[in-house]
Amino acid sequence: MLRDITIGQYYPTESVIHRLDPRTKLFGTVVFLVSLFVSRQLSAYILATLFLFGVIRLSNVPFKFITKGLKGVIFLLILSVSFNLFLTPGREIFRLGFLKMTWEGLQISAFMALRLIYLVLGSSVMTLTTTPTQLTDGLERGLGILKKFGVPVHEIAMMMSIALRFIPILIEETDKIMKAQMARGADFESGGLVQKAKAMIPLLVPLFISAFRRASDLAMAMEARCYHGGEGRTKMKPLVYAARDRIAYLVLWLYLAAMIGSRFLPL
Amino acid sequence: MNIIEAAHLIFEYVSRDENDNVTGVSTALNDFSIDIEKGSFVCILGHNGSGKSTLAKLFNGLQLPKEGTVLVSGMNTADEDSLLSVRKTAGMVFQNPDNQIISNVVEEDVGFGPENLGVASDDIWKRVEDALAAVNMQAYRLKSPNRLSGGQKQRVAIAGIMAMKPQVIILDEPTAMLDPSGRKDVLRTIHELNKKEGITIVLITHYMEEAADADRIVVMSGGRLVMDGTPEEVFSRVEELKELELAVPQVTELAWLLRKRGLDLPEGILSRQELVDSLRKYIHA
Repeated sequence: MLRDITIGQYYPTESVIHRLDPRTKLFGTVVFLVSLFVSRQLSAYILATLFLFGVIRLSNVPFKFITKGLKGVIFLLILSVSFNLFLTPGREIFRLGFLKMTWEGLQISAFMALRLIYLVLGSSVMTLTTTPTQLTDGLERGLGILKKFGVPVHEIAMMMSIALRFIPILIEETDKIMKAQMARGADFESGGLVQKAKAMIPLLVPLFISAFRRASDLAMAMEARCYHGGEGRTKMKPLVYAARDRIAYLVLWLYLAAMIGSRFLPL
Repeated sequence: MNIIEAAHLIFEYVSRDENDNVTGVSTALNDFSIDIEKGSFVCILGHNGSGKSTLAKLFNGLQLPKEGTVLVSGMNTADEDSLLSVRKTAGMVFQNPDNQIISNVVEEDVGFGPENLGVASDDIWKRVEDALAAVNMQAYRLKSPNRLSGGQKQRVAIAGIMAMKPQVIILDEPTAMLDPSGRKDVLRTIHELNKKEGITIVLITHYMEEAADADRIVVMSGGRLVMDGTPEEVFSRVEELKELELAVPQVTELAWLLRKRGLDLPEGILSRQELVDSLRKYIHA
């Protein structure tokens, strides 16, 4: 069961979006996120909605998978909506003690909620259609410019991919240690928050020790396999843009231009 | 021709307290010399702390000796410039299969070594294919290593080394964490690589059974070489091995006990078949 956990929640299926170069998808996500903030017109929201749902359609990922990401932000969503709803000055709808709901508040909070939801959906589409390996590869190549400013892009990408490889192993190990401690009478279930946190110490200490040991083993194994940083390294699966990527870039630029253009529309 | 020549190696582990004062020195290798012939299958046996793992790390430059030299295919491991060639020539497989696989996909992991060597993409694919075929793991090339058994993971690790086209593979207790079937799998694989591909194998282990099929056995104790010879020669010295707290293979021990009781059996019996044959001969004689 624990072996099946994949971080980044990739949804394996066949689609145009899946086949796009990870760099295109990363760029597309950034464009989409930015586009949500360039205009407040109703037309812009309609365009963003059409764009987002068009991409979701193309990705062949069931809609309910994509909305799973919303669970994490529901609290934030309610909080920001209610603040905007009641604390925006303007024409009053009704009053509840010192709180008053206004038309302006209603409008702002509706758009705000939409923005937040689209932010999450937009980035979910990317993580659902890109494997973690592709993602780190895309980041490494896409952020290659940062290398000129002294950012260790290759090293960061390598760290990310190794972390992804070891997450299931460490989860399995946690499970093992937990069972071993429970067999000797440790109690992870009962007690308040503080007590539960304290109960974690005998779990975390051995876990950390083993993680460090693994890290040192792995470093040696990598060295034995001639790893010497990103310099002079080739790629087994180099990233190459295809025709569909060029089309995607064109669509993205058009979309962004239209979103900016919507600022000058009456609605 | 020798692929590895190690002469007068001395290696010490120095433990220090927090002020960097030396609190103790343990000698892992003490004037140790060995030559390993190209194409041979050499097994290095020794008890825990005999210095055998240290020796493995010296063979491909992961550690450097305090004194003495290690030459791999004529290249000195202490020479900074030839370090990559040394590691490419002498590949190393470690004990824990999980801690030496770096990718989430089998084929990508096998490609890791060639990527580091700067091999062109097309050539990497070919090498990966050949390496996976050599360890008979082609069917798993797109699988996640997390879904493989220990023996399979260890074969992937061996493929990862094979993809670098090494001349010698050093295996540091590769079967210690495996179940019996995984152990058999790995041993069969390395014997095949030795016979079919002509790869020199240096197998470090403390399982006597694994040593029985080697061309040569080297026994280490306290950082020194104490025995060196064919399996027959080494395993006929049962008493000495017992003194070193090394157990001989069960069959060999049984034959030895029978001999002690006066049965006229030849020395250095290594397999069940040999014992059965010589017992049959003894009874009929």
